[in-house]
Amino acid sequence: MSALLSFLRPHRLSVVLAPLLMALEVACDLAQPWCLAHVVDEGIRHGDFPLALHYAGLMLLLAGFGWLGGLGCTVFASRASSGLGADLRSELYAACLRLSFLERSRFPPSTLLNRLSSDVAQLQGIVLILLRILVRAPLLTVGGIGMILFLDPVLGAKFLWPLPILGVVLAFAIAHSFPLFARVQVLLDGMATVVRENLSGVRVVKVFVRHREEVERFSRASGALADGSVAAQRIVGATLPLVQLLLNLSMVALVWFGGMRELSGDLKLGFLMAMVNYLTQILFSLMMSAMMLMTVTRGKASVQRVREILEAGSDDLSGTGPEFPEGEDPEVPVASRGGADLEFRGVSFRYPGSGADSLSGLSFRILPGQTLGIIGPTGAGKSTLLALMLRFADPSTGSVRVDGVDLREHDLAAWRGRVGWVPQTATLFTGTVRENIGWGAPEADEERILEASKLAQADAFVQGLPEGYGTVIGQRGVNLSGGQRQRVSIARALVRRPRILILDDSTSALDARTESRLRQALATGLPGATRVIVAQRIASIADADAILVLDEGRQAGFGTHRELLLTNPVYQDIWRSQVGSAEVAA
Amino acid sequence: MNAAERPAPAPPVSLNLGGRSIGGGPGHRFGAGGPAAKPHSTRTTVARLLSRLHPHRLTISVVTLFVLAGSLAALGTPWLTGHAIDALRRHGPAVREELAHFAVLLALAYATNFLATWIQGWFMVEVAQRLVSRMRQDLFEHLQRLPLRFFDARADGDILSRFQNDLDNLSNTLSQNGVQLVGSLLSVGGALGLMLWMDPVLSLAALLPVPLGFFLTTRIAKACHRHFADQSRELGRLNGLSEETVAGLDVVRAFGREKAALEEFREVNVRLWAAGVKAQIFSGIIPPTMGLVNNLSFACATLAGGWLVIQGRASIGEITAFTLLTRQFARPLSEISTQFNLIQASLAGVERIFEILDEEPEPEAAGQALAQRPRGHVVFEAADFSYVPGVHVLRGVSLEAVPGQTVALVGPTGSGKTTIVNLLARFYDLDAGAIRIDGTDIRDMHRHDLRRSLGIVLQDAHLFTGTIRENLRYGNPSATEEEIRSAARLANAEGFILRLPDGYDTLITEAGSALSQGERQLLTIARAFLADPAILVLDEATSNVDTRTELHIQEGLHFLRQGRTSFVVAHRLSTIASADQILVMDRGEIVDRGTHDELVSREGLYSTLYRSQTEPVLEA
Repeated sequence: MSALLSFLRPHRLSVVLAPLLMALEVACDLAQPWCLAHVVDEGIRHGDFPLALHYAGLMLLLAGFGWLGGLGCTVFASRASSGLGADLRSELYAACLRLSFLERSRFPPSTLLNRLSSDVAQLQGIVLILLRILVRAPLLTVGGIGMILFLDPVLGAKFLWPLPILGVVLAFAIAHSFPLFARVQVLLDGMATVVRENLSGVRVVKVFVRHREEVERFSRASGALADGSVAAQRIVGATLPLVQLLLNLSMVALVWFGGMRELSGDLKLGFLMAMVNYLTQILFSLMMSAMMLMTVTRGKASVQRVREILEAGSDDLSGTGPEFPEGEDPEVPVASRGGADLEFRGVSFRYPGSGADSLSGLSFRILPGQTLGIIGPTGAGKSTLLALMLRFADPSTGSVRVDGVDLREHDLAAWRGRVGWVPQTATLFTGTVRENIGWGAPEADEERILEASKLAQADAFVQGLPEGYGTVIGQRGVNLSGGQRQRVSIARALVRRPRILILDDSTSALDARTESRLRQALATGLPGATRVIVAQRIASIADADAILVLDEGRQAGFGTHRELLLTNPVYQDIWRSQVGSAEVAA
Repeated sequence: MNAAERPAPAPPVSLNLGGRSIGGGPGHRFGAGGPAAKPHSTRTTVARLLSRLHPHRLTISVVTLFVLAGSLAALGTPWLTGHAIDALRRHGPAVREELAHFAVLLALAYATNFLATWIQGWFMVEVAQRLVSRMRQDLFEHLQRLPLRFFDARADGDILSRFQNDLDNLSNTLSQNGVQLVGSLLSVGGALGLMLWMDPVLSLAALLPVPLGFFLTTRIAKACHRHFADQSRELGRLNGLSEETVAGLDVVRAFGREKAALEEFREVNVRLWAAGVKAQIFSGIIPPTMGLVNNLSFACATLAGGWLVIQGRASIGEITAFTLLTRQFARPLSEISTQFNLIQASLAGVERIFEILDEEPEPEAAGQALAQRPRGHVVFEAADFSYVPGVHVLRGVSLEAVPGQTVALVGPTGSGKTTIVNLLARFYDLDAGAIRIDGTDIRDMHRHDLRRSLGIVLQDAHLFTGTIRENLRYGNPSATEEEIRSAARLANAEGFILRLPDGYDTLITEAGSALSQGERQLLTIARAFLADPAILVLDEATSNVDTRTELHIQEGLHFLRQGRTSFVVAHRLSTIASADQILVMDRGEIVDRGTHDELVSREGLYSTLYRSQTEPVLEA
């Protein structure tokens, strides 16, 4: 909880004012029954209407002040809690953006999103409640008890008997409801999982005709959820009637004891009504405190989840060391800037917590302007290799060098600015085609975007879209086919005029004709840039200057296609599986 | 774009506290007041919702009786109290006895009220939860019957939020507020009735501020509604933004767009904050305002009553009774009004659920059942199809696959290959032409029998939460252990399964786990094997698997293809070269067909594709 406090500091004015104004409201609340007593006992009983009016007026005045206090408290409490919510969301989002590559596997997107929205909302609500009840409940309770004892110590004491009873009951309710509500959360998640799977896997469910079993599976989850909710709600639902009963029985006691008093003295009806009033306020404040406690404890889980992200390991974005010799200007054509010189020297990498190296003993180098092909079976470590090139993670041993200097000493932002990366899955964003391509280089103009698009073999199909480059793609826009998305993704990387272009199996959805056209275009349109191509088909990389063969994280071969075909058994195996037994025309 | 489901905002923490003191002091409600969306047609929605209570009518009737009893008891207490007070004034010797008498009666009345309220809560919580559970079930069952078109047109997150947000809201609202609604209404009605019967003039005085209260509440609620709608909208925008960025974090970072992304977020965040504060303030004004109105009401009643007492026109006891009645009228009334927003939002959510329930399902029972396992003779006759009217995806496609044949579909992306698969499984219906299996038009077949005779492996390896064994058995629940292992072996999956610590009992989840894409794909292939379909369809099934592994799968597939018609959609030469028939597609039409050898020698589209795949290898 203390972690939250630091987020409240910028709003400390509101945090202080809210309870103060609440105190005002409470004071007015406590004074009103007292006025009421006077209205009745001194005004009405003695037939003194003007006096009654006088006190009634006072009562209304107090009500007015109380209203102002309540209003003011709401305003400041809202500002503080909403401000906290906004700040928290912003910080959390920044933390998500900073999350290091390694932490990313711990926190998949769905949980990050849940924490950003659900947990932050929960905390915001809790702060709001705290600021409003934190002062109110205790003050009312203490103040109410005080007023009762002040008005009549002897009689008053007799009325306070429900308090300890209520305390015990509430403690019981809290202790038992908490685990029940926690369980409901888990059951909710379980139900959501079934729904989610049926939505994303709707084709599979239909093809295998499994709807009946899925319905059964769901009804089990839903039934369990209903049972759990019933149990939890029943406990909460029992507290209010109980409080009312205690209150009402006090009224009975009041009638009795008051009556006894009357027989020996004066019936101060107004006084009695005031007593009942205070008692009601005390009992309900106690109940409010209990509810507040329950809500706050449920918030603990949210605090934990938010802290995890805020404290998660982040990428080191700083980096001293030499700037690239050619300088910053992206307008300078690549040919004169030159491609990057990339070298892996004795690199090994192991994911934390893993029992084995994902990559071991990689040593190779490509010179500026050359093309490196990377090939290997599924799970050989190709994507990990690329992650090291992009510096999403640092090698466990050895070093990755660019232009002779260890990557760790280069300015990370500058390095990434020079890399054009086309990931395996073409992740695009909601927006127009133009925006998506231009995303790679914000300073790019229309001409540059078109140039990149033509190079990526995307221009042809984009022209065929309803609104050309202005067509909106994304969740609510046009759905592009796999191959079309890949080409947009490639264009996005190309528009940066990168020094090094990394294609991670980015042509899998393209047919061979389009792919070969792309290869030719890249050869001529991006002269001088170093190219790294991860591929499944040897055909895609056979003309590379060097091919790296990865097998189970190890460098199984490095050389030209011809060399490898003659000497490398792993490579020969792959080639055989691809060309196969089909007859090849000479 | 990874369609992560839209995250569910937390349902408003609605604490139902009857925190009203007698005639003074505002009670505080902490319903955080979720987005106050308005239902389009409240009356119909409420009516439909109420009709779902039908199965519970016995419980409801009994509970209503209790509620009646409780309310009557509660309404009787002011009367008793008033008389007790008046009795005190009489100062007679029998007063002590009379007082005891009243005390006991009061205690009984309160005890009855307590029991009634408690029993009502106890049973109504169950009724409410069962109602919600039934709706959840109906929604899910109905979804299963909807055509693919429905799902393709909507974001998953939207549908999921109806289960999570809308139903959750309803559950909370019903369990807490709905349960007491009847009692509250009875209390308000009964108290009002009694008040008017006891003293119309006094009632008037007491009721004077009530219209003021209504007026204020509705005005505030309107402003509230506007701001909540703003908040909702900005929240939706923010969620959409976060979803995309968080799902594509790698891309954002590789392109150095963190700062830009953060700025974009902050812009919307500020707008959200502004709307949220206003919404929160306006909704927070209602309780103290209602409190003020209550106080006014109470003061008026007290003064008017006091005047009457002074004039000797009423006794103190009567006035006390009256003011107590006023409380029983005012408190539930303001409770209902402050809950109004929440109730409205819940109803809006219920409407969204009914919206789905009203969607037209796929006609299921139509068509004849298949008498026996189809031989697998598939014919497409001049098939025409478009997803969007006017945009043709298939044009006059005709093809024939005899039982046991392997037919390959090749062509550039977007040429219509996957569409053929969709049509064969009758996910969509043709615009013109016909598809026949064993001579019968598939439209005349029972949809489920049709699908059961197909085995489809898609490009996205979709698995379900469960053990590997359960996933493999998905299409064939009665498969034996031996059959399961054999299928896994053929798909070349047994190797990695046995390497896992729990083997076939390893738990996997839909969202990914320790398995790579390729491994998951192998499992889906094994799953299709196990289902033993008459017609096998592989739609880019091995695109995520490396060529060496694919080779192993091909060997297994070779066995499997005996006696089975297979449709294979793929890019790779090795996959399709051995097919009995290759169909070359381009822009929705079949432009060439034949065996590999025939097509290569024909110098058409196929030979171009083929050459571009192997030429670089030859030249090297």
